[in-house]
Amino acid sequence: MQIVLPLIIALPVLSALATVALGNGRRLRVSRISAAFLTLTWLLASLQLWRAIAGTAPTGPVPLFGWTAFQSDPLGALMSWVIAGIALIVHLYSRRYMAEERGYTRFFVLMNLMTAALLAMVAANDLILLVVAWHLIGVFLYLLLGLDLTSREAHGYAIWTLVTFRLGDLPMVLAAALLFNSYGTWSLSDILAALTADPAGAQVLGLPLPTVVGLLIALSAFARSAQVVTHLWLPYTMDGPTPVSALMHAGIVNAGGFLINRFAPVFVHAEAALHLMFIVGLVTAVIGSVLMLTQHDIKKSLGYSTMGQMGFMIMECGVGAFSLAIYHLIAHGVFKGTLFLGAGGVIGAARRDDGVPAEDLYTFVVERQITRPRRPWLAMATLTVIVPAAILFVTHYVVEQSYFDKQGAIVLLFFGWMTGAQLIFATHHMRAENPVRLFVLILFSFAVVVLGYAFIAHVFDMFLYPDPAFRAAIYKAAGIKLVYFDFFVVLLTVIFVLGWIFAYYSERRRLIGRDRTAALRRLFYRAAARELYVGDVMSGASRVLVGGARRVNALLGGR
Amino acid sequence: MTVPVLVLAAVSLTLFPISLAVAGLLDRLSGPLRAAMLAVWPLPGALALASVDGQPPDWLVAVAMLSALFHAWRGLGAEDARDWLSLVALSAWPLLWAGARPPGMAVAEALALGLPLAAASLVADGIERRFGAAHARLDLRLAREAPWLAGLFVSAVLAATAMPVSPSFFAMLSLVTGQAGGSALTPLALLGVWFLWSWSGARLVHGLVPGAPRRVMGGQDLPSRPARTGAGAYAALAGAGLLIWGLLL
Repeated sequence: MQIVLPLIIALPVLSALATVALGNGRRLRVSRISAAFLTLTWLLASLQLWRAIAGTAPTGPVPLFGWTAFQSDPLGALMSWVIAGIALIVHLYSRRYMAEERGYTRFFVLMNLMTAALLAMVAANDLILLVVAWHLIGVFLYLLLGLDLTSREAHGYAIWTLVTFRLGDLPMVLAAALLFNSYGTWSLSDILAALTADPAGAQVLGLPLPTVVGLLIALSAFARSAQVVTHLWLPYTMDGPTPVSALMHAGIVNAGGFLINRFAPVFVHAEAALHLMFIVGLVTAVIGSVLMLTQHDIKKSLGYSTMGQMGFMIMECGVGAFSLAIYHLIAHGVFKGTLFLGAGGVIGAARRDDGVPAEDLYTFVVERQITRPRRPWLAMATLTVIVPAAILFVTHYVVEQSYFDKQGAIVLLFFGWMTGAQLIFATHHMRAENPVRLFVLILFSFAVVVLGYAFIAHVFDMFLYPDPAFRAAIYKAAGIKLVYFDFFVVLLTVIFVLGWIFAYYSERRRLIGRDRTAALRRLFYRAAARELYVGDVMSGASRVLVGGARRVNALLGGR
Repeated sequence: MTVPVLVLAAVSLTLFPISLAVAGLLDRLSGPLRAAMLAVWPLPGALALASVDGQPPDWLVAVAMLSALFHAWRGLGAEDARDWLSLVALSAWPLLWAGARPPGMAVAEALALGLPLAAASLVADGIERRFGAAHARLDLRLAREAPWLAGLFVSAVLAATAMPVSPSFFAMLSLVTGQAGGSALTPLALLGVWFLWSWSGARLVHGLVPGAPRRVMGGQDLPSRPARTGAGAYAALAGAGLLIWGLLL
């Protein structure tokens, strides 16, 4: 059965070759060949996952002709199944969606190769294979985003993506080189075993090797997962075909979370890297969410939504909740993939009916109906702060009582609290026939989602990291001194409560026309609408570099 | 390490400002001769450095890395495929100053860096013969006017910029691995050069390949047979990359 894993990776490559050799450019045949191979790939990946869940799959390296090796483990099996599944759905969707596009065969060939590269990445036990697959994903994405060869604009954004990905590829090359120099092998499992046995053994430039490697791996993950400063490629790559956007948001941008999990034993001894991940993830989540809310372009808004989610994912890694990050990336992949693949249908529906609810004035003047009164602000604010906190506490206590011993878990609960409060509070603004029923339904949904989230996260923990000592070690590494942590918790609570009070007073003052913060908010809105000027700074720096090179070339006699 | 060895290496592995003279020489050549020069020029220097005991002085390695970074940066401003290839070559060859290695490995690394450049030079020649020049300002829109050539050109640029599974990818990986244990500056310079290649290569492709179709041109693409031969050559280059993987790493 050791043949299953290599076959899972080989099938999409064979599909790409068969598409070219047997498709003869006939669209129906091309898509059928591709879909058939991908179906087989997904079935094998399902078998592999089933065996991993049942505990019958052998765990460890799977050598391939003594040349390279794959890794058979729960993480790889789960990720292979997710990638093969999403790739299959995207393939099936593309059969008709891409039917009138140029480069149909090229599209399917590249999608197959991209799937193979993603599967090789999650299955690699050879560091070189991992680096090759990591690089190839960037190359195939560049080619897929530039699929429309008549659009220079799409190609321009594809360059942006390629350059950002390269920026993230290179730290991984350096990390791989450092690990090889220290342990004399490219085998990831051997390296991680040696590092776990003697974490303080190797040093680089006077720093512990795990810290340096952890930081380099984190940098690679940041660029791939659109963390702040390296995020611009994501909202600007919507000119590519919709199926590519779906695969990109559902399966490629998440790779950072996978990579961090793959190197989990390194991070147990790399506290600095975990703290950096927490800060970068937090800033990315906040900025991504703010920019999502302020964009006029729906596609850019979706891009920033993904950026915010990726921020959460990296932040989860930063607090030691590694398996939760995997669950998050899968859940986000399914949700965002559905969103993109359903975009065409939504646009069609919106053309028939815009779905915008009638304003109070319209309802009152045109429809001659009395507008329903909304719930009082302060009562709603109090309710929304207390109810989600209670739900979160009870559900997590039911699922795993030791949850509250972990600092990282408590930090995540704060974000759950904030999200829940925001969700429930939003009902205050919604206009419904029966607001009380709506409120109860939303409350019930929230409770179910939180319970499900806590339960599934617990199951993922057991499946991916069955050793409780290892799980505790990751949380411990992500922790900070208790006094700082307590201060952080108090600070978060104060920010949260003050935020509510500020929102309450702003709303009231705006209603009576005495909003003193309007100018400040306008200034902030302008900056957010301009994407906090990050793009402008990047473009400016790029112009300076390219312009300087041109001037020097002209001086030295270039054409 | 003797002075003649260092002089030979400085010429062959193009330290600045000698690299400017080598650039002039490359500019005068075309066709297979230029491709041959791109493939073999660094061999004597790499072999000379590998054959003698000891390592080059640190300051010379630093000059080599700065030369490489300088020419790789110049690549960002290049709009002509010939110029760009020269600049990539002039930034690739000095990288071979980094670290000591056995002669066989030095030759393999030099060839792995040179072969994709030689192949790319032949593709650029093909474009020049058909369109007069391979210059971004000509607005060639190769993807529509000459799809086969465009495909080969994109493959050529990807291989020349050390993307996997080109031999140059494994050569760069080998160079970084050889340097990772020592000073931080040399590996960072290697990675910086690698990054600048990708950026400048993508810019060149952007200038030459995409664009809406026109009616006045067309019919200048490669015939099917040589095009398929070219595609086969790139598949062989990928195969060579996998061999180099086994040889160097």
